[in-house]
Amino acid sequence: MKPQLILFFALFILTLSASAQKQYKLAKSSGKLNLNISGAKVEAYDGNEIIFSIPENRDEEVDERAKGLKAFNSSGFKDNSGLGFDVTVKGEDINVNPVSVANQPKLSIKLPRNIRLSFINNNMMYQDTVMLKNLKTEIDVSVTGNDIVLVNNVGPMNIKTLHGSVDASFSDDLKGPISIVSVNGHVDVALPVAVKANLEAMSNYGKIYAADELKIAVNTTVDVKTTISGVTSVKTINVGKSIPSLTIRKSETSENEAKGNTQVFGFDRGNYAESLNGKINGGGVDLILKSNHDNIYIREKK
Amino acid sequence: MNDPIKDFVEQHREDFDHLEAPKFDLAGLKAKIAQKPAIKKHRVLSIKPAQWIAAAAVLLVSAMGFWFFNKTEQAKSPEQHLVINRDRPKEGIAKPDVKVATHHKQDIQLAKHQAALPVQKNKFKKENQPVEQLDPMLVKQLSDSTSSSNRLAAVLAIKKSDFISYDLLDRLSGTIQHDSNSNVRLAALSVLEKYQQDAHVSNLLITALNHQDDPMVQLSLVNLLGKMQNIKIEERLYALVNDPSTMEAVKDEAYQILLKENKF
Repeated sequence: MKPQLILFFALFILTLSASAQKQYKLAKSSGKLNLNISGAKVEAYDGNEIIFSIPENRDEEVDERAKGLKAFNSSGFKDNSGLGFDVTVKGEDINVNPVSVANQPKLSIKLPRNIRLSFINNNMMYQDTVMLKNLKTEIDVSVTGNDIVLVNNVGPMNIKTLHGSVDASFSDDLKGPISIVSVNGHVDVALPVAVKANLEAMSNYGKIYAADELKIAVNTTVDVKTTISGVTSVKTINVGKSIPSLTIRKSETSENEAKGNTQVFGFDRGNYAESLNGKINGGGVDLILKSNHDNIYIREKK
Repeated sequence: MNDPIKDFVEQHREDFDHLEAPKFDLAGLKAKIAQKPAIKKHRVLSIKPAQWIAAAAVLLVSAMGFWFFNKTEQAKSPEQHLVINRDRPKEGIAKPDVKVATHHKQDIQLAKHQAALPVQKNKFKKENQPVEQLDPMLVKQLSDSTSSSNRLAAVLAIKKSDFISYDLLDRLSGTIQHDSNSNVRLAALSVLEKYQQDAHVSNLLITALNHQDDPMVQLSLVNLLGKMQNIKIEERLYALVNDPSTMEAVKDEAYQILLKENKF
């Protein structure tokens, strides 16, 4: 088959699946959207209503007895959107909660530009990827296990996931502060070369990798490198060409620790911690990246 | 009652009384009296100067001590206390550098002069600080419940400025315990980490650990407190590892510290 034909079919199927959607629209162009659900794909667009949609590809049985009734749950949430979610507007806040925690369809949301977003999921079992795209307002994500994908968001953003990973690709007109933390997952960010940022990356047991092209001016440890005039020297380190390229300095261990405390079991804890503080293009947006047990990757956006 | 000793004394009374009372010697007594004050006077005179010198020395030392401490007390208004604490290690570090790097006397003097510069700079800062108050907007921003990013920005601004006060540290400690956003809590923790040498701050950190319910912050707190010296957190660490709801990573960290201290 010709590639054009394959492309045609692929597009055709795509449009089919796109058309087979259940939608719920809410006219609101400001405020804050609070999502307390298992996962979602949120994309900003130029419009005045929030469009919630779920794929309608499953052939579920329609319960005839339930016609004219709404699903309720113990928290008092009812399926007022017809999608299995409770959508309630309370002043500036738009709250979205699942009616059935266990059977949540994958929700896609189109969000007007001025609405802020908060995503919270403390459920240990039902976790799905959270994808946020093209948002230009404040983002607040706090989850236990979801993987988080951030594409082309402006910020400011506060992202926390305990077990999931974060993959982010930032836009040029970044707004701070940006804080991305994970305990067990990796943090992978792609920055535009021209971005101005104060970088603060830290990993307790993982490593920090950064791209050469970003030319990070690393602040070396203050207590060691203080010059005689008391000015901290700032070095620009150009690291090797090989793939993910550099690991910078050990975390500052206190003077007491250095001379006291014999090692236990042949290692001294704390020395594993890696941190990288520096400025990109002279500094600007505050960018905090942290992963306790996994690696941090700082790469160039292409 | 028959007392043999009394009888014996009665019988031999004459033997006991063989000593005559000496004749009253008025001249000798007068001479003695005349002599004694002379000796006393001499003694007093010889002792007094020493005492005076000692007293003067004690007074001088205590006066100098009082003056010195009084001066440092003046500088230690609550808002500047921490800055002073931070300055000390700098001096300590700068001096050995000088000794190692230079040999000639002149060089040493020059280097010392140069090394003294940053300290002077700090002094200048100290004097200026009451004027250089922190933006009150920042404090307001710190308690902005509508936007976590605003709060984070405020915390980061505090972190960057060299200004700090106990009031501000207490506020940040409150943030660590009660803020709804973990990222903000972590940032506040990183500010306190900067001033961890201070006893008040280490107390705040311990309190924060005792009330912490966010696993992410627990992890960082345990990690930080584990590295600090002379901190008693074993009880809390036991409580954490024995709590089934504690996150595994936090338990691992707590175990590691207990192992390091050989307390487990």
